[in-house]
Amino acid sequence: MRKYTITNTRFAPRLLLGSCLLATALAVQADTGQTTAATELKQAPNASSATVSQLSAGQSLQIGTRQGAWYQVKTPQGEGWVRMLSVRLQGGTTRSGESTMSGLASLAQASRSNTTVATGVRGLSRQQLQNAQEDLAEVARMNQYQVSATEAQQFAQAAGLPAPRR
Amino acid sequence: MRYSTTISRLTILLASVLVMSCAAMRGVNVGGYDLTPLADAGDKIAKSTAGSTEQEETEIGRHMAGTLLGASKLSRQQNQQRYVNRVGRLLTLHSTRPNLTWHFGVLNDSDVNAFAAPGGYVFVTSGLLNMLDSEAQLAGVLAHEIAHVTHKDYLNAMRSNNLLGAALDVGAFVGSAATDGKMSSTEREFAQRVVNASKQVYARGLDKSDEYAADKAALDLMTDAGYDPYAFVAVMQKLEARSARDSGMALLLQTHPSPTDRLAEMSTTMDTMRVPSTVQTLEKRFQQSVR
Repeated sequence: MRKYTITNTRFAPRLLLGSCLLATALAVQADTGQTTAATELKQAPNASSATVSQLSAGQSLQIGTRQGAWYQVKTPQGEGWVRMLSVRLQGGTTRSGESTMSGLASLAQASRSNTTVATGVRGLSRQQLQNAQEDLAEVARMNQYQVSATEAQQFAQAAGLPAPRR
Repeated sequence: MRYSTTISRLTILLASVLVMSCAAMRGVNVGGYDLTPLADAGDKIAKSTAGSTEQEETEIGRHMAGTLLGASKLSRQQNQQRYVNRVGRLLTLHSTRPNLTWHFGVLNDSDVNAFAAPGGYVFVTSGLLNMLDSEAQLAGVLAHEIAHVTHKDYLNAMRSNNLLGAALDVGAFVGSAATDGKMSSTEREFAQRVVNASKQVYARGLDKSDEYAADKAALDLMTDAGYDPYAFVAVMQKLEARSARDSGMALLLQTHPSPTDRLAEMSTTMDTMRVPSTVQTLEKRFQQSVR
């Protein structure tokens, strides 16, 4: 019996309800992967939840969102959650299930990323390092972006990240 | 007779300088001789074995960063530079060296890599930045590099391979900068040695054990700073998926253990990791700040 309704490669929004980590997620595009070892498909992202099915090694799956150390997956045996370390993402994957963007936004992002790739300088080979001439002016340029401890604290606070313990 | 007594006293004192705090020597006057210069010499010898001063470390790091920036320039996307500095700096507040002068930089380079240099320099390529989905993932990458700085991995690599020459000389070069803004000849020689050493260390990479230790430290630092540490595991899985087919990962793979091995090593840490339920990934702030 299916507990959740899955629409094509996207996971339905209501699947994500109740998870504060994913409160802002609307729809997450799936990546593909494979299990690296036999593992249990769980109903919820924790070890004590009910087992939906036993997955064998090399099982193909579609990967949705991540919660803690678990990926939400879709397999021929049903949907559920598997330990992230039991999964290997398929080559060609550019995103895991952490993004909150819709497919459209992700397309826009991809095209922008491609632009960066096209204009980015491919320079960090061993050869390029060997030929490098020291550039201290560029090092000095970094000073303008330097962030004080106070500013960093405020930046943490704005997102509800904890203050350092000391 | 009086002189030889003084000299033998000096010898004993010099020897003791090497094993005890040199501060006690300052201002000490034996037979009319001020021993402060001996104390300074002892300081240098002590540091050559115990580690560099922060000033030396920063100076080595500046030239090391300069070498890297000779091969790859900073991205002109100021919003990215600012954001990466904020995330990085907040992580350092939870590190063992919160008061270091930390600098973070995005390199305009489509290769996938990240680097550190002594004294608080951390770099991430735009190629790697473009692969990431959340602030927590970025924090993982930066935290790994921050660990290389706080563990002094690059300094130790240079020292253990004797890439800087006699360590005593390092102390002599630092602080010898000419006042007219140009490099003194000793500073030039120092810079040249660091540049050559940097090229070797960046091309060769650190010990595998240093990389595994930095991965482990990154998970801890992320958790302390309130980030979901599993986001770094997700980054490693992205690298693993990408590595086989991506020429832009060549240098990273030449200088690090494989992502698969790093994941296996991390899994042992993950078993005992205590992660509060309040940790965050902050996808939204990342997307707004970087894209």
